Amino acid sequence: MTPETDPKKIAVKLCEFARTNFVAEGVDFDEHSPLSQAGIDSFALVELVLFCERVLGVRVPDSHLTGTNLASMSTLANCIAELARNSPKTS
Amino acid sequence: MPDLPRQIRLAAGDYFMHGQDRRMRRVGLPGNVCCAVIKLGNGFDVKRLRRRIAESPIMDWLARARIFRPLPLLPPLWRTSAKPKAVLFEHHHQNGSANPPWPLPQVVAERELHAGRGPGLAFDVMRHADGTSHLFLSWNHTYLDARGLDLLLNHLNADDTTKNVPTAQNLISPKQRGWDLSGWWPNVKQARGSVEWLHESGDEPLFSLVPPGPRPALCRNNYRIIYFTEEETARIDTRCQQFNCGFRRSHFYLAASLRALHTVAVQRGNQDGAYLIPVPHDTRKRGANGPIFSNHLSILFYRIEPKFAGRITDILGELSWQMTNQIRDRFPESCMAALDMFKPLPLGFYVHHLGKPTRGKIATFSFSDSGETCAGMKELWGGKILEVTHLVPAWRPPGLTVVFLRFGNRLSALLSSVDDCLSPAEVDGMERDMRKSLLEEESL
Repeated sequence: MTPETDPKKIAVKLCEFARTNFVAEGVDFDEHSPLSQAGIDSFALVELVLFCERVLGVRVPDSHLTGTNLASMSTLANCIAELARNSPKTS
Repeated sequence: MPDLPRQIRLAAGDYFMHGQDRRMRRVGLPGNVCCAVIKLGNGFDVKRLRRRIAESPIMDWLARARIFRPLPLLPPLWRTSAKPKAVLFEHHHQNGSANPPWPLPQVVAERELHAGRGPGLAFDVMRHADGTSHLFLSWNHTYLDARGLDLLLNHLNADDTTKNVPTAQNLISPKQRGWDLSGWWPNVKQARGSVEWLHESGDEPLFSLVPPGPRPALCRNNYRIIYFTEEETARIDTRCQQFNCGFRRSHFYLAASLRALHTVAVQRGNQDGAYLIPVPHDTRKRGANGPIFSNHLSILFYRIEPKFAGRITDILGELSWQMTNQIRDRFPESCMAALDMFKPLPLGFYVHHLGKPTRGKIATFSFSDSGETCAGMKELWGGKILEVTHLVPAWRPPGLTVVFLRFGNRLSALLSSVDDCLSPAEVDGMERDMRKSLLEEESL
């Protein structure tokens, strides 16, 4: 799998996953919504990280799960894109 | 009044809580009954609360709901009885000081709330001479979980004219997991992973606080609440960031609790057994009201070897990889499938069966982080909310429950223990250790 490197596309996928799995219907949530205010907890965070691994092909190490990277889906997408660009290409 | 369903399927979490209720009553404890103690300021209007209770279709539903099994070996249901059993409401006056409300007033501590007979909830109001009041909301855990209680308070506090009042229909979720013959085999397959894991864990030595020997006839629950000031809570938050636990505060709290318990184990000379800790997780979606009724939970099980339990960083490392692996392996879903599968068993057999994999030990202790309680609520029925505490009884086994809770900018931790499992001196030691781990730099 070739990892996605476009932060905008990654952010869209992350938001879609969050809306389907842990953000209630009708709640305003987009790539700039603060994750802490959206109620994202440790459980949801791990699900997000596993989604990145499974669908985006990028492994996010614990060291990258910092407050800055987890401010919003947009910042997380930037972090993932960066990791994807630096990761060795796999088929 | 909105048309609420007359019966709904019992969630796996509800029957589990009902089983724990049975287990507790066997040793003389007053059942799986929790109590939210809310201190309210001047202006609290009891009549308004009474009116809202009388008008609320949710309260009416809760007052009627009982566990009911249509036929032997068919899964039990929540069914509403035609005759409502009024939600108990008592109003007391006290001339003494408003602080503290401990020990609980006897009438509250001895409340008989039973899911098979109802009612499941009771309100007690205690007025103090200085104008403040304590509201004691007791509830049988089989009916609702901590988040459900928050939603119920929000529902009862809302005026009809307030915007976005959730409809009663939305607040009771009829979408409980199904149990029928077509779903039985997939359920068995899904449940197998967690059952096998628990059996494997039970084959190794586990640390248990429950003393060996015959079951005692009369146990007592002891509560110790560790309050943290706003400044201390801010310090704990900073330390969470230092440990890279900004989104995993509950891991930091659990690590501090486990380290404190490990000290007890070392003092008892028992350092061989691993620590088995079930941690529930609220499965409601975030940002909306969600259903009030029922226990919406899934469970993660952590198994920490004693060699890791002495250092916060080691425990955090273990918690992190175990959590990731379990979510990856869909362990919480497997656990709930197992609980769901065993629902048709008669209660006594169900209780016995749940303890089998761990040879009756169940766990080392129960842990939960209730998160922020009364979030977004400044006042209830005209009275400013001054303090909120949840008293959650400890099950036996395991004999100890640790609950973290945040109200406003203040954190508190409840150590709830059964008297024959943890001595007062050991509880003192745990409090000291937890404070040290959560607040002091040198205990990394």
